[in-house]
Amino acid sequence: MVPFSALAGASDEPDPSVAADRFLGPDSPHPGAWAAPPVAWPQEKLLEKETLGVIEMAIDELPEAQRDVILLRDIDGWTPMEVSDALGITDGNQRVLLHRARSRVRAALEAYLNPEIAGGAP
Amino acid sequence: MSLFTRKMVCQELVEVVTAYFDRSLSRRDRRRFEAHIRGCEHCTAYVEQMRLLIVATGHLTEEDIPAEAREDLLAAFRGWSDGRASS
Repeated sequence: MVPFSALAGASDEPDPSVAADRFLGPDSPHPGAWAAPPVAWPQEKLLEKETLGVIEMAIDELPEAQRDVILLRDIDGWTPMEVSDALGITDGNQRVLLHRARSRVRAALEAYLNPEIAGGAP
Repeated sequence: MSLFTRKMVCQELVEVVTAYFDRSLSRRDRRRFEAHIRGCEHCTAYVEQMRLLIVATGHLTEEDIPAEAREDLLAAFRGWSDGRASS
């Protein structure tokens, strides 16, 4: 059995939270500023059954370690310390995993709610 | 602290949102984050999306998650506190 900590390896591949092409490049007057900015989401839409289904599916497709952390933190409501203790990983590592998980799920949700701008999902 | 702290750009902000929510940014980066947000409607929208996502995710329950994923997770905790895992 692979130890959980091995699955939680943090920085093997570049995995930006938002696709790089959503931002202006180094030659622009404002490198790193939004080129294709996010738009506000209608709050009432977020709790619709279909929207929750999109979130659920995105969570299910996450790499295992990311999925475990987002389940514990955002569904079960565990604290960062409880998660890192339980999984035997550092506080920083659980946060990286949570961040990647949330960023991917956000991208999936954006692709659903704002299909016109979410072409370049990470 | 330097008076000439480099400003946070949007592409950097999206990488530290979770650390900001967890209050684990350094005081300096927290200030850079908040200074950026005050002047950037797009990043304000991004942070709000993340907040809404977290709220919505909190409305999912264990029953929504496929049994297979749950079992993988529980397997990772074998040997860890039973009382906690069953709550």
